[in-house]
Amino acid sequence: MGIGNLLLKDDGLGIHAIRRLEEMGVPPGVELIDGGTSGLDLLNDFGRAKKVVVIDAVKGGGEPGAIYRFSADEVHPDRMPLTSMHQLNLHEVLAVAKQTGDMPDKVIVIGVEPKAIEVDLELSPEVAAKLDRVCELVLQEIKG
Amino acid sequence: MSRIITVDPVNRIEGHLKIQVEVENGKVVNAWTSGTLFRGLENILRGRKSEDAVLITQRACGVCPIPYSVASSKAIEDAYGIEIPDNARVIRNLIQAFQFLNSHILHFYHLVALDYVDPAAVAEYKGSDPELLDLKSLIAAGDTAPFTPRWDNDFRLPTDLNILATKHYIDAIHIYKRCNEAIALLGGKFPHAVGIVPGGATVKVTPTLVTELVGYAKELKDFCDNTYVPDVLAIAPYYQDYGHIGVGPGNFLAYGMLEGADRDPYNSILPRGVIFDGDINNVQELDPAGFSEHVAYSYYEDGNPRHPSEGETQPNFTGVPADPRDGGKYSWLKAPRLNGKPMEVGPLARMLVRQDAGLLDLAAKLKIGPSVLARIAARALEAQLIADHIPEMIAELKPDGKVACAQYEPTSGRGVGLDEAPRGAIGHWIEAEGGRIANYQMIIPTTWNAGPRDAMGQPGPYEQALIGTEVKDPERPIELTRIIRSFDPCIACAVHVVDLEKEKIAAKFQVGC
Repeated sequence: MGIGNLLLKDDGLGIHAIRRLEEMGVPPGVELIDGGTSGLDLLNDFGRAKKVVVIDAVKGGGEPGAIYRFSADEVHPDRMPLTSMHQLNLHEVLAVAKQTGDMPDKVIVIGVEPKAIEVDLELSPEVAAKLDRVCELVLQEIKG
Repeated sequence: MSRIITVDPVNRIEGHLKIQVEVENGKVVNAWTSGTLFRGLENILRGRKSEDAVLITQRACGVCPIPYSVASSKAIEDAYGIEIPDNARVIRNLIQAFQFLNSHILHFYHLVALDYVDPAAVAEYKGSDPELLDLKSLIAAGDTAPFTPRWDNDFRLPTDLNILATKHYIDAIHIYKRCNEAIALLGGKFPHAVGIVPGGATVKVTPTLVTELVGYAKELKDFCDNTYVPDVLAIAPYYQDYGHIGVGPGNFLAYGMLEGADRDPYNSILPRGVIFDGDINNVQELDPAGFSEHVAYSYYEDGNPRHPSEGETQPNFTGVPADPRDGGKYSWLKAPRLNGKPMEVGPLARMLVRQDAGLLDLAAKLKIGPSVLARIAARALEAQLIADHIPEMIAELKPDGKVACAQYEPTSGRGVGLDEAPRGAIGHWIEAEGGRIANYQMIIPTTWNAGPRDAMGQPGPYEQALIGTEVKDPERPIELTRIIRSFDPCIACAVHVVDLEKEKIAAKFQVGC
């Protein structure tokens, strides 16, 4: 599941990755989801999956293009930004998913440090260069 | 003595919004609302194929993509002189209806109610509902997401009503998911549907689709009739003072939606019209030449107010004023005006323009005027009205009938698409040359409601709604967030970044390249 805003440069990484994966193809039983920025709208998809691999821009303090991998339960909700710019952040959506029985067995986040978040349909070169590696990691998660 | 209170960002809204108020003797005497992210979407569109606008503009909004696809398709159809078949009109009405129910239910239970309902009351729950018992154990363990952060200084409901509303918070999520499924059936996918296109729609109307929609319609009507509206009516009396707080400019604008077969927006289920100066029973026709967009206090190059069909988007960021009282530009939103007046848009505007008897009766019974409470009530009654009409919309569908016009030639022309988003009137203006976009301007609902002062210095609707409010606790100004949230803000530039910086352990998660 790629999430982010396609209009805002590196924030659109998740959507760009989903498009790349669509071209590459994924094994049967795997669904590629362009999740956009819709927060709770993603519950439907969380609810029918065993495992979800979320691809998103992640501000982890590394160099632009740095890749991160963590499972959703490795980051405590209290340490997440409480005043999300979005209606509800990923952790809040997952907290709701637990309440409604929509929680998959496993949620893995694969993220890339953004360079710039501004109005632009293209990724910055530093982030674009990591797209193949991100897709490779996603495919590993699918097999693993 | 006066002081400035800043709330930045206002949480549990879509997008990023800052509000600042000047408080003197416990009362707001001045207010400034700032959209803090630059929206340059119009510039991205220039030079692209006109049809791209339908897919690209949808991405501007995290919660209500469908109205963007409808407004942009209408603008393109207007520019090229395209007629859509009747089935397409009905499909658009239906997908909008489900989008509105999705958005209104989410707004009430998951964004607004938490200002009025205290889910912590579930700690005292003694029944056997498994979801409430789960929640009770979470709260006992100190895990209060997603109900936090919030200001808890003014909860007034009795424990049993708090518990009931919290139970409905969970029920509402199940219903909300059903709305999403219905939108996906009609639009191909959700979020960001692909099924609304210039010329019509792409979904094939089959008897199976009709049967499925009937099922969704029943479930949603049941929820509106037996849960959503009763909850609003049960909670309202405890906060009756909010029937006079957050009044706003008293000018209302609705473009209208859910058109009938005659395609007359003045004859729609929610009709087109305007109301000026608080004269709420005097509904007038909209003069489309009366639009102007002001940038005197917005981060754009100065110029005379322009009609959106001639609009420009030239950013000119002059810095955030150290003190808003010093004057100068302070928002990335433009200040749209109709006939020179700031206009409130949204469910209250639509239901007043409709002169909806249910809303007017309720307002008379509760002795309230345009206000926080009126907005929340209008939204609930509008959801119910829409749910009531869905079955007759479904009956209008013609299985196996045409859903799109024959192929058209993208040429040149100017067009406008006016429709409604859950948050209010949405307008797209296109100028096309040889099938490509020469200019594109949008005025979205939150720009109407949250826009800054205009060239005449008139504050925008949020600002007017804030001015005059008594603030009991300046450290926890819940009155202000209740006012803003009643409008259902959407700054329409949702950024979705997972922020690990606060963790300071990012290196732990970094993987090799």
